[in-house]
Amino acid sequence: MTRIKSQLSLKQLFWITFAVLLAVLPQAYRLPMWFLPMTALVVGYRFYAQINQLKRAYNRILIMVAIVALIMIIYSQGFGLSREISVTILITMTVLKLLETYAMRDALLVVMLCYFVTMTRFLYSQDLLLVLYLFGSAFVTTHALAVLNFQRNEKWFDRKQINSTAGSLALAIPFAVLFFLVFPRLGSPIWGSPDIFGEGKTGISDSMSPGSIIELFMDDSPAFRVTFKNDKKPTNNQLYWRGPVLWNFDGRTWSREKQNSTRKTIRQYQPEQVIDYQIELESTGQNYMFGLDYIVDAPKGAFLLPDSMLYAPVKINQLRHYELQSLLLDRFYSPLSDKNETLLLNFPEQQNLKTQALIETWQQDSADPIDIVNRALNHFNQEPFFYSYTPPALEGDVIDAFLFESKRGFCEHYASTFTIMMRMAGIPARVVTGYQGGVDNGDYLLVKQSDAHAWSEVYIQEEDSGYWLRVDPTSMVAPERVEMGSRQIMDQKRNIIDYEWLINFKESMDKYRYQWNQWVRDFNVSKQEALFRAIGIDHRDGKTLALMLAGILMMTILLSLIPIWWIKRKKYHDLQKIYLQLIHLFRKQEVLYGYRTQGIEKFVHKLITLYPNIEVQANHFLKLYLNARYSVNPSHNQQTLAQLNNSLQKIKSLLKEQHAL
Amino acid sequence: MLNNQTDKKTNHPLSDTAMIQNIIDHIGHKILDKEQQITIILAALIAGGHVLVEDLPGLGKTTLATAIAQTFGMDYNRIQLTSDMMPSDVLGVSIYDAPSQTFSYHKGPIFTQFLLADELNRATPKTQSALLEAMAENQISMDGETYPLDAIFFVMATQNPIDEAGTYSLPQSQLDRFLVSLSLGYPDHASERKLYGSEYLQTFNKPLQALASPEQLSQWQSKAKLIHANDEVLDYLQLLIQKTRNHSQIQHGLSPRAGLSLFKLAQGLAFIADRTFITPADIQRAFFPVSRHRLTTVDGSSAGDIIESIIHDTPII
Repeated sequence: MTRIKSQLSLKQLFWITFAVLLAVLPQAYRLPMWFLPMTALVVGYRFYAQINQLKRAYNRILIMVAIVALIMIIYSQGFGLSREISVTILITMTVLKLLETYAMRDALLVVMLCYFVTMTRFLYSQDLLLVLYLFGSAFVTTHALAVLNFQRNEKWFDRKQINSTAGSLALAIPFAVLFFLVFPRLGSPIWGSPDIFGEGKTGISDSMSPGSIIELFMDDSPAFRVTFKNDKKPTNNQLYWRGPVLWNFDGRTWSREKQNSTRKTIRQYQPEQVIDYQIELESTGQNYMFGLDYIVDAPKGAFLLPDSMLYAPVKINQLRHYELQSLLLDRFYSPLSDKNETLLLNFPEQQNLKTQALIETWQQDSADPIDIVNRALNHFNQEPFFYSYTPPALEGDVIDAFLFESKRGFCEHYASTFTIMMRMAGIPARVVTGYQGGVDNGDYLLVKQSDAHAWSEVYIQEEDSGYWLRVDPTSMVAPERVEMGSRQIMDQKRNIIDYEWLINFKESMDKYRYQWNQWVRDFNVSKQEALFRAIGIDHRDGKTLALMLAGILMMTILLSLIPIWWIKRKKYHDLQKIYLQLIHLFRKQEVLYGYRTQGIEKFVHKLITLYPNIEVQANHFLKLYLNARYSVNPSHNQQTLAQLNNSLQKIKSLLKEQHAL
Repeated sequence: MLNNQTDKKTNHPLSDTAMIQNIIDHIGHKILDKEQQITIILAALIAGGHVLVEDLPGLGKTTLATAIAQTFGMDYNRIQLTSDMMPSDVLGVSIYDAPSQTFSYHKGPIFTQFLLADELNRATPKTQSALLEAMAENQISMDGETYPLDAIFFVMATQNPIDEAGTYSLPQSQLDRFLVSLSLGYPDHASERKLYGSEYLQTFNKPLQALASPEQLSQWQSKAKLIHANDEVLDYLQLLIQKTRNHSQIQHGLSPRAGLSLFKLAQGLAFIADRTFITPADIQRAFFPVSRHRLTTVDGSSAGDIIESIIHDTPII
């Protein structure tokens, strides 16, 4: 290829570059560090070259640049054919392509690449805000295409042209909806799950070490959404969303205990005690799911572990909906094996001796577990303990340090300290993590990451059986946390952008996101099947799918032809209509009708050759017609039209006499 | 008297159209079955353009030329071009006149009203271009003097498409000087039989009676120039011209000059059809003779089919 100067106008280059930037920027955060400087350099150089009318760089230089970029990608992201690297290469090369975009052909290619890059963003997330952004990106890309094809003027923002882009995109909406509804859906996404690579918040993890929950307090993104059935909404202090149950403590970190059996379904309960609800869980990339204490039975595709934790064998890598029933109780009857009892009494005996001494004094007053539990709770309540997001870091014997020195902390500290205290007193105890509360957000309850919470469960042995009792020591220090929700105790700003209006805005956005999830993201195989059944298609086997696809494609082609026809449709004036009427008389006679490129004179002459008896009338008609249409002063007023029509009728009747029609 | 034709019954002078129709019939007695070509040539004559006839020998090119010249009562010259002809053989020569001690210009055969340039492609490029230049400028420049040609100056050149040896085919730029090109082709079966009959031989040997005068022709020429085309027709004309430019099988599309030629010839045809305006049918009829010699196809084949297909693919409703 020769070195050419740019064949594009500055306006065209601007729109192409704009489209490229909008398409690649939302992915910049997961691209290598050098990506943004490289993009700035490429765009800067290209505009410099355009303004100074430089020729395109030598091919060997462009190839070198591409190779260097490829090496840098491999250096930053490793070598392999993963989605990650494929997308990075696609995006990087799209940006670099600007360097050689001097001709129309390359420009069109860049625009097509932009559409493709925009779509790859959906591999990572399908959130509503992102979709809105990508709509904007697709709009700009389409406009770039329009500017490439119809350079109307040099005005960079030509409102008329922008409107026409909007119009053509609007025409695409019905097709998008149609394809969305009927395009065959796979049971699981074909290229792995959309959220696996990152956007899904991990949220609560299955271990708890100092500071792990505090990160969640900063995060207002949704954890899950709950819809209660029959308008039975529990009060805030009943909303304990059970997540991972932590058994083991190594002096610093709490972790789970592996369990190989499942918990039984609760069978005996009063129907009015039970509460029905549906949860829409954002992807976490983890196995556990959440439910209100205590869950009656596991939903489809999940089971209950013996510690009542809801567990999904397949990781939650996309939005998941499930229905649950719960009994809003603070205790749960269940036997405890000796082995588990030993585990739940474990604590580092050489540490926290001051606490151990304190517990011993309590035990001397009363050995009854319930008394000790109340004693401990009272201790938190009476002593000057404070709820704080910014507790001092604790060293060494963390329980002692917390209980006797700092006395400041949040749920994590209280739950952890309380659980160890119970174990010291010989009461089996464990930490339960999850969420507490939630925000009423219209039709549903929004549970955010900042609602993360930790509490305790102690096992109370009765004569023939025993039960787990939920104890939340945090409620002794900051009762408003459980009564009113986590927002109540956020009296200080969590970070510099922690404004009330921003939280409110996020919550109202979430309402739309909820609808989006309900109607779009969660439109899965079963919902599609239901839709198909509604229109009378019962089976989604291969043959039906193939037929449907073929049908959809046919329909799309047909439907796309309608606007084309509408745009291209000729608007005929009166004289043309008369000619068309004449041709139409002979629509069945191929010799005459044939093509519409012969013109009226040829047509009438052919007609006269075939039907000599109309010669006089036909020539009269032709003369009138030609005069009316092509003469120096064309006059097709009503009178001429009437004459023409009259003559046409005469020709018609003459032909009818001859049975020519 | 300009109008020397009268209606035999009423003795009124005939209308222009009727006269032209008479002329066409008149020439048709000599050149059988070639009414269309005669019409095109007359239209070119009225439009003030020159004609290139490409055909095999013996198909009546010379006869046609003579018939037209005779019918219009024009001065008629014929030059048979050969490769040893010099420009002076066509244009004339300045000769030193000893008694008066001056150069005097002796006019060549080009100083006439109707020039038949037979086998133009046999002449050397030098001679060809001298002739064509004179055609374009309607005057001769020699030794610093210009000598105007007659106001009515019509060239009919012939070319033999076979017999390539020893010919200099005309370059594209020279071909453009001809308003139209056409070929006569073989006569049809019945006409050819008539041609061999003794009756025809008698007509053939008699010179044709003049039905019009050069003055009459020049009057028609100025009338034809006034013929009008409205936007719709001009759009159609332009569309046809444009289609030759985007056609995959055509090397170079038609120039705006070709477009003007198309317009002129259509004026001539409209005049013959007794109209004061051009219709799309005029354009269609004019398109083939105007563009045939101006278009070269990519593979060197005849442009005729492509021209037909362009008309066939251009809607006119």
